[in-house]
Amino acid sequence: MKGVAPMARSPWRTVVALVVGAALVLAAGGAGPTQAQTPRTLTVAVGADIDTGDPAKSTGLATIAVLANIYDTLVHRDADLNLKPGLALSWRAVDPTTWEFKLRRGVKFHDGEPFNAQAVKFSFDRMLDPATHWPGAGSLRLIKTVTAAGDDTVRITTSEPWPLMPRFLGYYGMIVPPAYLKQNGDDALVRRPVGTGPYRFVSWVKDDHVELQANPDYWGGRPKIGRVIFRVIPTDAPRVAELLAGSAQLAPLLPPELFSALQTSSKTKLVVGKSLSVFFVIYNLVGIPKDKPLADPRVRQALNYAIDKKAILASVMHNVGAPVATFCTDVMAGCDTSVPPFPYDPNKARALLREAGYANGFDFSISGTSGTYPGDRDIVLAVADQLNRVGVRTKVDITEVGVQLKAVLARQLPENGWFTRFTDFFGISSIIPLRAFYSPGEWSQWRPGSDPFNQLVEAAQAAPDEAKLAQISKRLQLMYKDQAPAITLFGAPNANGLTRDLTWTPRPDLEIDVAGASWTR
Amino acid sequence: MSEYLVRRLAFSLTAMLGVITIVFALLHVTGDPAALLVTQDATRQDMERIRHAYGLDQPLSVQYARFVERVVRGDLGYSYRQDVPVTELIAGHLGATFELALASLAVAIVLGVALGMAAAVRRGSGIDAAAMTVALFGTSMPSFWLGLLLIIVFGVKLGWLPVSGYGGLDHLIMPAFVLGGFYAAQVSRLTRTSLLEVLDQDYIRTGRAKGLRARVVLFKHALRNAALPVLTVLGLSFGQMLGGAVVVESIFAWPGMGRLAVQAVLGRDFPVVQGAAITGAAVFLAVNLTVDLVYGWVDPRLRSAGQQA
Repeated sequence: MKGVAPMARSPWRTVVALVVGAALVLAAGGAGPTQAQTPRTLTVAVGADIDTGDPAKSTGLATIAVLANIYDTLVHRDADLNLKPGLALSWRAVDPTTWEFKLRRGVKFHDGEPFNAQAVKFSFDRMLDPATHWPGAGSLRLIKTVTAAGDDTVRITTSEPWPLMPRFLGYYGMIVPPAYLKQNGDDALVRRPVGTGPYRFVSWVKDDHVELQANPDYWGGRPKIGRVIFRVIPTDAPRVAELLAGSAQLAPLLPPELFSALQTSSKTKLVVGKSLSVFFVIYNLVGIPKDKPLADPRVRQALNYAIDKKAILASVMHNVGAPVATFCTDVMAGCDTSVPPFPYDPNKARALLREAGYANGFDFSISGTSGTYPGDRDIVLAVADQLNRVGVRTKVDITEVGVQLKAVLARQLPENGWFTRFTDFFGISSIIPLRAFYSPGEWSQWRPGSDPFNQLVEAAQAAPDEAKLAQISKRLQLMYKDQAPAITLFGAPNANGLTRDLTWTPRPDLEIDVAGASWTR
Repeated sequence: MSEYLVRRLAFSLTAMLGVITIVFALLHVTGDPAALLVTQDATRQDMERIRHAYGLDQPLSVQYARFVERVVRGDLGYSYRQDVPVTELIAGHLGATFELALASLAVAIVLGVALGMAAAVRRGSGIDAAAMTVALFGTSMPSFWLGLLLIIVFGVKLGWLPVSGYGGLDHLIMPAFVLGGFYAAQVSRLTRTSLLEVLDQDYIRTGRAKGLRARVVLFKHALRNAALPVLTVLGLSFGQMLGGAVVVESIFAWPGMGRLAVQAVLGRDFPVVQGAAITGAAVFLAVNLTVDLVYGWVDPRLRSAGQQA
C-alpha cells in the first residue's frame, strides 16, 4: 500500500535511530529500576496516530492496525492469514457472481445496538458510496450490490466472478452500527468509534493516545488484557526507550538500527513476524527503446545475479527477513515457495552482460527514499555498490517519497530504477504483479510490457479457486523470473519490540491484534 | 503609536499572504496528495475521483483563488487525511505547543540570563570560561542528541522522569530543558556581551563611585539597560518555539504544532500544511509586535521617540 504517509518516518529519524541504537544498547546493559510490576494495562508505543475512528474514511496502515481491535469484518483471518469465521459464520458462492454469507447471531455493537444483515448492508453501501471517499473502494470495486436476505443472511453480487472475495473481506469491510450513525450524524465514528470487536473505544487524544477497554461480551471470548493504551511516539528510539523503562510493553514495526538494543536487554525481546511486503528495484521500462540495455531481459536478469541479498540482509537488516524469489512471500495464498530466488553469482551477471553486448557495463540510476521504509536508504546504497562491482555504474538519487510517487504515476521517473516496497495486505500471490507489473496498472513501469505476462495476471485474478490460483501463480512466477521486470530483493521486516512479560503474535497484515496478547507473569 | 500599529499590521498581513502563497506553490509543485492517500489498489478513476473531490483537478489559479477566499472568511478547510476541520486540528495542538514554549522560554530566561550575568560579572575568570563553555555546548549540541541522552539517563537508567509523552509537569521537564537550553545558550552569550558593554558605561562608574551597592548597580542600572537586545532575541525565539519544535516534539512525543505540520507535509495534506503555516506566521508576527510594544516599557526613550514621531 502506498498510502503510508502516517507511517512515513522523516529522514533525520533514521540518523537519530542509528546514532542512538548504540547508546540504547549501553543503556539496556545496565539495570535500571523496574517501574512496573506486571502492569494490568498494556501500553503500545506506536509510531503514528490513527487518522480517524471511522473505518470508511481511511486505509492508512496505522489506522487499520488499531481499529481492527474495535471493529470486526465478516471474515476473520488468523495470524497465518487462514480464513476463519468472523461476523459471518460461513460463506459460499451461490453462483459465479453471488456470494452468500451466514451471519453470527446475538452479536451486539458496543453501544448495545444489535448486529444483523442490515448493518452489513449499511456498512458496505456507505463504504462504497463515492460520496464517502473511502480510499480503499478500488479494491472492492467488483462489488455490485449488497442485500440483506432476512436477519442473518447477506448476499453480495459482483460485476464479474470474484472467487477470491472472502480474502479481501478478511482485511477490508469493517462493520459499523447504522442506528448510531443515524442518531449522531454520519461523522460520529470519526471521533467515537463503535464496533463489535474485542475492545471498546474509551478515549482518543489526537497525536497522543487512544485508549481501549476489553469488551466482556465479545463473541470470541473476553480478551485477557483489560485495558490497552496506544501511545503515539513518532520517533523510534524513544519507543524502544519506553520498553526499556517499562512504561510501554509493545513497540511494533521497529527499524533495523534498533534491533540490537532489544536483543541485548534482559527486559526486552525482538519478535519477528511474517511479511506481506517485498522490496524491489523496479526497472523503468516505460516506452524503452530496443537499443537500451534494460530492454534486454538478459541484462535485467544479470542485475539480479549481481545482488548478494543475504549480505544486505546481514549488514543492513540484522538478518531479519528472507530473500524473495519473485513477487510473493510464503504467507500469500498461491505463492509457490519452491521457486528459488536468483542466486548471488557475479560471474554469471558479467557473462550475461557480455552476452547482451555490455561487457563494459553501462550507466544505471536508482530513485530511492530515505526514512520512508525501514532501512531504505542503506538498502539502495548497498544495491548500487554491488551493481558497480559487476561494472554497472550505478548512481542513487534519494528523493522525498511524495515527489517520487508523483513521477512514477506520471511515468516520468527520471531514473532507470525505482526502489520501493510493494505490500499486499490481502495475502494473495497475484496482487503484487497486478499492481506493480501488469502494464495497464497504475503503478506499472513496464509499458508496453509483455502480453503473455499481462494475460497470465488477468487469468490469476479470475482463478476459480485457490488450487487453480496456485497453478497460474507458479507459471507467473517463472515468467517473472525469465522476464525480470525488477531486481527482486527481500521481504520488508515485520520486527517488533516486546517486554519479556508479554506474549503477543505479530500479524503479517500488521494489524496490532491485542486480543490475543497476554502476560506471562 | 496607532499609526505605527496600523503600519505594522498591514506589514504583517502582507507577510502572511506571502507565506501562504509560497506554501501553496511549493506544495502543489512537489507532490500528488492522491498518490499518497490511496493504496496500490487504486485505479485511475479512484485517483481522479479523489482529485475531483478535493478540487485538485482545477487549474492552480482557481485553487489558489478559492483557497485565499476561504482563508479570508476564516475557513481553513478540512484535512484530506483525517476528515476534520483544520481549525479543530490546530486548536487541538496549539495548547501543547504553547505550554512547551512557555516552559522553554522560562528555561531560556532563567538559565540564559543567569549564565550570562555570572560570566559578565566575573569576566575572564573560571566562571566566565565555564559559563561560556556550557553555552557553546548548548548551541552546538543537536537537540535530538541532547534529548535522547536525557531520555537514556533520566528516563531509562534512573527512571526519574517519564521517557516521553504529554501529561503532568514531569513530562514537561526534559523537552523544556532541551528546547529552552538551546535558546538559553544564545541568550547567555548575548547577555554577557550586552552587559559587559553597559558595565563599561560612565553612569555605571558614577553609580559605583556614589557608593551604590554592587547588587543595585547590576540589577537596577546595568541589567535593565542590557536587556534590550536580549529581549529581541527572546521574542524571536518565543515566536519560533510557538511555530512548533519539530525535533523536540517528535522525540518526546509532544502533540504540538511542529508534529502536526511535518506529518501533514509528508502526507501532502495541503489544508493542514497551509493552516499550520498561516497559524505559525500569525503567531510569529503577533509575538514580534508584542516585543516591539514591550520595548517601550523597558526603554522609555523609545516610548517618547514614538510619541514624537
